[in-house]
Order: sequence, then C-alpha cells, then structure tokens
Amino acid sequence: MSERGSSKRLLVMIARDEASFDELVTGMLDVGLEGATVVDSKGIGAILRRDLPIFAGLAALLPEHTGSRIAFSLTSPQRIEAMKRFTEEMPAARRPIMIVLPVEMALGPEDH
Amino acid sequence: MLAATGGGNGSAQSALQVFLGVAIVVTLSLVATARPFYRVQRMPAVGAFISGGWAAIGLGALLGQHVLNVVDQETVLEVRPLIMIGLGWIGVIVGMQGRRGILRRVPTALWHWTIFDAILSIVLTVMLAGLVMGEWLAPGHRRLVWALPPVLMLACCMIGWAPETRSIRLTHTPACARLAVLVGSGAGLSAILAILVFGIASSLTERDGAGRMQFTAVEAAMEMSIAVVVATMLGLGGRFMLRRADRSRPDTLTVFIGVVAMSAGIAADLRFSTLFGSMLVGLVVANLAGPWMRDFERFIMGSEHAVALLFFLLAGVLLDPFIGWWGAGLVAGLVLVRFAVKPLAMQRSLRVHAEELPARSPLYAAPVRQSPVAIAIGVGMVLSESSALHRRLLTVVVLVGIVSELLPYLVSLMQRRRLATGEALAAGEGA
Repeated sequence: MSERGSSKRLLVMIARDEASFDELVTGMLDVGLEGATVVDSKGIGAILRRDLPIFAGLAALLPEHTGSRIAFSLTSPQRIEAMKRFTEEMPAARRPIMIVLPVEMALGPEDH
Repeated sequence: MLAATGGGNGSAQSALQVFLGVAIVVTLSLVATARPFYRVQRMPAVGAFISGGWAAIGLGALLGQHVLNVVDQETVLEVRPLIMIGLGWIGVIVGMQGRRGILRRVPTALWHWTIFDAILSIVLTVMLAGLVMGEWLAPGHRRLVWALPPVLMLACCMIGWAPETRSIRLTHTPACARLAVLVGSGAGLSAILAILVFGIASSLTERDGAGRMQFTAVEAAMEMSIAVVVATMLGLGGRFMLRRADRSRPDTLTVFIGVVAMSAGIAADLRFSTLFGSMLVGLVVANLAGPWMRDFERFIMGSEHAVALLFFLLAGVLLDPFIGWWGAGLVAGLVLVRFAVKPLAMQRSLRVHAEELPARSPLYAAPVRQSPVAIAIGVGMVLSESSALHRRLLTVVVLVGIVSELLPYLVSLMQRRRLATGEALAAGEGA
C-alpha cells in the first residue's frame, strides 16, 4: 500500500561503534522502532587511513568492519521525538548522529 | 627544553633557534592531518611521493644547515627527548599491529615472504655495506666490532617495503585486491621484524669507559629480557590507566603520551632501542582485551600521518649530503638489490597462491619501495650516536628510498597509459 504525501519521516541514525549502537538498539526497542534496517558502515577517516598506511600495514588483514552502523527507519514523528529524547540522555561520546528527512512517498508493508 | 640549551654567549639565540625549529616541524606535521592534504594525497603520483615521506624529507633538507639553515642539526638534537618520544610513538603504532587476532590471519606464505625478505636484505646489505665501511671508518676502527652495528642497522632499513598500494594499483579486481592486502600486511609484518632486528643490533656493542668498542652479547640478551619485562609492566599499567580514562580523548592522549615517554626514558636509561622498547609496549597493549581497545587503536592510528611527517622532516634536516663515490656506490648497490632481488623473493614466496592472484600487476613491483619505518630507524641511528658515519648512512637510506619509489610508480603509469589507450581503441571500434 503506498502513501502519497506521507506523514512518516525517514529517520537515519549513525552509530560510530558497537557500544553506541548497542545502546541505540535498546532505545529503538523502548520507543517502538522495530522496523529499522541496519547496515555496516565506515567513517571516511578509516578509509583515508586504509588508503595511505605508513607504518601499520598489517591492519589490512582485518575484515573491513569498524563497528560503525547506520540504521534507517520509516516512522512517525512521535516515535522520532521519543527517540530524540532517548538519545539526548545518552552520554555525549556515544550519542549517534540523527537525521530526519521528510518522505514524499513510501511503498511497502502496511504497518510502515 | 629551552633551559636545557645552556648558558653562555648566544644562549638566547640558541633557545630561539630550538623554539623556531620545533615550531616549524610541529606545524608542518599538523598540516599532514588537514583534509586538503588528504585530498592531495589521493592523486596517485602524489600519494606515492607523500606516503614515502619524500616531499617532507626534501623540505627538511631545504630547511637544514646545508641549504637555508633555518633548522640546524645540533639544534634538532638538543630536543632529543622529544624525538625519542616520537620514536616511541612510532614503535607503539608498529607494535599495536601485532594483535593475536591479526597475527592469526597471516597466511603461511606471507610469513615465508617476510622472513625470506628479511634474511636476503640483511645478508646482501651486510655484504655491500661491509665494503664501504673500510673507507668510512677511521683507520683504528676498521674492525668487526665497529663495523657490524652500523651495517646491521642499515640492513634493518632495507627490510620490508612500503605498505601503500593505491598509487600503483591499476584495477580493483578481487585478485588485485587480494594481492594488495598481502603487500600491505606483509609491509606491516616486515616493520615489526625490522624493529626487532634493530633492537638487537643496537644492543650488540657498547663503548667502555676508555671509548673502546666491545661486543656485549650477554648484556644484549639481558637488556632484551629487561625490555620485555618493562614493556609488559608499562603495557599493564597503560591498560589500567586507559580503562580509567574511559574513552575521554584528552585523558586517553595523556595516558598514551605518559606510557610512550616512560618507555622512551627507560629505554634510554637502560640503553636499549626506544623503537624496540615501545614496539614491545604496543604489542602488550594490543593484546590486552578491552572494549575500549578499538577506540584507542583508532585514536593512535589517526596520528600516524602527523608523526610520520615529523620524522621525515627530521631525516631531511639530519642527513649529510656529502657521501662521496663510495656512498653513491652503496646507494646503487642497495637499489639494485631492491629492484632485482625483492620482487623475485615475493613471486617465489607467493607462488602457492598463484591461482588467486593476478598474473601481471604493478603490485609485484611493490617490494621495491622502501618501508617508511626505515626513516624512523635511520633517525634512531643518528639519535643513538650523532656521528658523521650515521648521518651518511641516513643519507644512503633516504637516497635508496627516493630512487626505489620511482620504478613501481613508472611501471603503473606505463600500464595505466596502455590501459587507457586500449580502452580508447575499443571505444573507437565500437563507435
């Protein structure tokens, strides 16, 4: 079922490490954000270092995973507000980057 | 530091020179971490030139006493403690690669390659440099006890190769990617081997009270053992303090500098190599479990470019360009070893994986390029004894590095042009 001029928003959250993501998942469950999609990601700093190693080339053997994750969720403004309140209470060092985008159209399962 | 420049006439000028020298070097090092600098490095030619440190070495030589005389060698050596901390920093960065989880992933062929390369580098360098020592050592010092340590230290500089592959990679096929990983990780493993051999070489001899050089093999073994104990204690202490720092960047930086400074100071006091001692500390810290470990690693690795630039600048300031015909001959001989022998060692060692690797690639010329750790070892050599011999050897290391940087880049440039011509022809035929 499609929604034109959807009231939903696209919430994007970037957690830079495992600990930060772990807390984020807790928060998502607390506010009822169960339909998120999570992808592994890497910061540009890590890519620049990988491209130009100087002394520490052995790290090339590690799988390309830094613990950074991005979570995408199509959800209501109320849940986003709840998520915002949750992340504001997290320690600053672990707080994810949150981005909210308006959605013109969403096509997918009805419970979204 | 300024007070340590001593009194007497011109002490204010001397202090100002020290301050100016340090300010220039540190400012240029910080440039290495600026985003525009990273952007410039992504151009293949620039990347190859900069990752080897050659631009910074050239700049250091320009600022040094033989050209502009903005920073002279004695001024730089007056801040020896700071340079030792920098060496310690590099040692920790190299040591932290030696995590159990990473070492378990090293394929057997890669171990064969790095050990084979190290043995070849040592044997061939000792043979070539041994010929030159007869000319460079003072008449009363032309004996093994005087010649062996500098020759072995030079051999350490020849071990390994540069880990950067982006500038000489033509394609991004899975086979090329596998080969690039082997080159990069082999370079890292070789850096550990090079510093290990350097640690042994720098402890082999000692001057007695009368200035006579003597072999101290037993003392060297004891120093190595003490170094291991000290590194373990510093590593455990560092781990405890890092846990207390709890991911706070300022606290983490303070703990790290403290551990590195202690490691460098203890190494200087007990007369073993700072690079070696702090590499052991890095090994211990890397292998202690802890969720904060990955954050700490990212933090330390993030400083790699700034510290590298600092040492490349220092190498430029400290080198002695007047190496004469014997020095030029030594450079030529070592370059020939890098060009002719190292790629063969690579191909022989990796032939068990021939089916997974590309049949042809400029990456097979990667071992020609000298490891950046060679510059740190060279500076460490001058720091241990600021003699004319060590400065000439540093110059040899720098010149070998510059010349050996060119071939793989030229090979990849020719192949890039061939590929581009081939693509243009194919596009023309298709039109």
